Amino acid sequence: MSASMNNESFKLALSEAHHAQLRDHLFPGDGLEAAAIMLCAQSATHRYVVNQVLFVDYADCRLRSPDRISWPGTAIEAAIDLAETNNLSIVLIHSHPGGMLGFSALDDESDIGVMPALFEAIESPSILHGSAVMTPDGAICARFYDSKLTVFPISAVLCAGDDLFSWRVSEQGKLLRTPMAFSAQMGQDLKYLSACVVGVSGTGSIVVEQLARLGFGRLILIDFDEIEFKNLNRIVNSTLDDARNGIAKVTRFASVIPLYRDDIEVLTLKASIATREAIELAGLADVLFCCVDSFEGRQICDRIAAAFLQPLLDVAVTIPTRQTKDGIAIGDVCGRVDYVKPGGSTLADRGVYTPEMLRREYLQQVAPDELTEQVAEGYIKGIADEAPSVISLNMRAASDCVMEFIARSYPYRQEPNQERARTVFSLAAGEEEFMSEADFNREPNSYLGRGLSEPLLGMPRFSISKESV
Amino acid sequence: MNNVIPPNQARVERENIALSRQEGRPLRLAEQYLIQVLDPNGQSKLVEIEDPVPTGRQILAAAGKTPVDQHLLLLFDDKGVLEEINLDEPVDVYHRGVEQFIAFDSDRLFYVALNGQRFPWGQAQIREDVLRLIGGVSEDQAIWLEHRTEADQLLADGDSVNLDEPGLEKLYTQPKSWQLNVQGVIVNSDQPTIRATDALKAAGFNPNNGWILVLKVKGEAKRSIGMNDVIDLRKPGIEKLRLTPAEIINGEVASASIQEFFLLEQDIDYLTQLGLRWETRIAGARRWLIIYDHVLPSGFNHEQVDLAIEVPTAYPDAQLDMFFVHPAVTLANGGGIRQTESRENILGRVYQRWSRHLNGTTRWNPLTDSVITHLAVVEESFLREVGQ
Repeated sequence: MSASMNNESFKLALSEAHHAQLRDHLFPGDGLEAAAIMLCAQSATHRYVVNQVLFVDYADCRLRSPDRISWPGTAIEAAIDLAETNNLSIVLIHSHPGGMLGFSALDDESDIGVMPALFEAIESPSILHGSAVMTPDGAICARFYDSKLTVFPISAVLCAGDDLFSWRVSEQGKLLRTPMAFSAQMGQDLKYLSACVVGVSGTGSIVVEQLARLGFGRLILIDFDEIEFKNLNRIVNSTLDDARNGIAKVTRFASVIPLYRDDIEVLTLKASIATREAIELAGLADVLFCCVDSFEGRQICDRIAAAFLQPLLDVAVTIPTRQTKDGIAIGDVCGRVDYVKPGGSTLADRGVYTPEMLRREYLQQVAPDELTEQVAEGYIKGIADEAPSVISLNMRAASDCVMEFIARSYPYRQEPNQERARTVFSLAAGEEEFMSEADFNREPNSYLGRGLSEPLLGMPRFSISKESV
Repeated sequence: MNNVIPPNQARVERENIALSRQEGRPLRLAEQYLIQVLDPNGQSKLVEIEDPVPTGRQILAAAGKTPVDQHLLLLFDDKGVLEEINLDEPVDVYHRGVEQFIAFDSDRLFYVALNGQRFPWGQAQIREDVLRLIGGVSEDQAIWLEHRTEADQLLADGDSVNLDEPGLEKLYTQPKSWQLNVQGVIVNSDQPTIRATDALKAAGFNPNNGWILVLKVKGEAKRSIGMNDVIDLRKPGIEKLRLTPAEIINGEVASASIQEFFLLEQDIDYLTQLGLRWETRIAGARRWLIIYDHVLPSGFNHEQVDLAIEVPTAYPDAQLDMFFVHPAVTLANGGGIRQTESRENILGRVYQRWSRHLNGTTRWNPLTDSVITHLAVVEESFLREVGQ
């Protein structure tokens, strides 16, 4: 597997809400430059996420003109205080009302003036700080500096809303346009993206197959399990030999993909997503696909996507059964795809998992008799019986899932994407139902943009203490 | 100018009407009377008049408000009535015992209602402090201006009401209340000052638990205050009173002798604050929070029990439910306790299971629920059994 070109380049992600606030503040309508400060956490060494934004008051700038702005020291101080406490990088952003998506000589000069102060103030030796510009159309161009003032351009600035925005500047200084969906250019374009697929089994293996063939630049595959004979009926690429030798699901894919792609990087981890190593690996991705079948897995993916500002696609299938006088019969044949944008309603908000279900799943694993007892006593709801899923149903759901991703990044729908926050299909009834983002409740999410800050994902189970146990 | 005073009565040089009223004596005849003429800002000036029944014109002239035709005069009596006095209208200052007038450099009257009572005003603006003076509004009452399409407005010190808007401006008074944010809990006070220790109690914190108090005021450096210090809630910019446990324990403490898995930071702070001996233990794959020597309310056959609470791996996203006690308890009078029949073996000891659950309407909320809220459920369960 050869390393793809986006391996060493930097990326910056921000939420839809922050982007809208920045745009409003940076373009007040008076045609003069304005400024703001983005404080960024990291999801990976080369991937930064905007954690907070400080808006520089127009009145505090000594000078604001159509092509120049002076930064008030107090704003920088305030940023330094926050950055220090939480180990964040400071990215100074200002507007170019004239539309230049790039850094002028004035900008370079200004950076050389301000950057040293940031490095002086913050002790951490390897931290990066940066600067960025926004043009009236909302596009952002950004770069990082290290303490020696070496410049590291940010190759892509990403903003996942109902649509996935990315701003990439070509060598000629022009904004790269989004190609049409399903064209050959789309395949070329996907090279800049990394996707993480959690769960490479029934639906997951088919999602990976699609993403690999469509043209993603990097795939990160996470699954703790090994191939068994009973999986051969539905895990794509799995062989009899794999089952005999107990090959890990992720390993199988890592060996197959290079047979048809020589320009993709595939990273694998044979571990549960609920481990520190898996979470840190997921931080390299720009988009997260959750293809697990446990509530715990979904809950972790929900948290990861919020912390790392990644759009999340969650897919599930189920074949509930019912009792008839002749025995068991099919109740329905269903699939569900949820698209979660950072800052939008989460899988928790949508009830995909609940505190009760999580506790139930825990008891199922650690004390199944206790669980049976509590279900019998009526304290815990039982779950409906199901028939095992099959490749045909998995493929339908997995295809819907990847098509949902394409619709968001290379829009093709007649309706706005916001209307398709959730898709549920029923093959027995022959129906498809959509739910809009507006249909869901949305609790405040304090993990948004938290990056890798400790405790990891804000969950006590990942706390590290000074005295290890 | 009917002179109804018998000519043969003795007269004093000068009689200050306000003063005589204050001293509670009847008015004496005088050569000159002193009345108060206020300007619209409430500033008053003592003015001499000779005639005990002066006209509006005479009062204005005596107060130096000339040309008289361009001024308005209102009479302000001790019953709080404001009345317009025409230029040629006589006022029997002597018999009515009035002494306060308000003069305006204006030719137009405006009206305002306070607590349903309408009164005139000679200017388009009336200040909050003047309203208090005229309306006799006491310090512990706040003045509110009614709005039709938006929320009513509280008049702050220095605010003015514009009477020139269409429609009658209606004001009403309400007892003042102040608020203080104590560590995220809003405490209401009907006094403008509050002692720190009372603020803590009102917010549900135990002042005896050893806190460092920090008062955060906008625009000022945060400052530490003492438990007996008095906070003036009228001071603008008070943001909150922050509490920090006086001793921050970080795990190397006797109270948490063993921590095989982690709880939330706030759980650890809370348990340590209460001075409890606790552990988190993993037995097989099950995770237990054990709290030792929990004091039971009276009415049980034991005074203290050890508590065990199972903490699923995905806590706080996974809910806490039920709890276990050791040794098993019954009521002191020998009565049994419902839903406690089941037994669980935890770390070599037999615990009694209390099947207490959040009822259907109260659901676990990962954002706000934790060991802290679950312990409140535990406490409530005990109290309920002994009828409290």
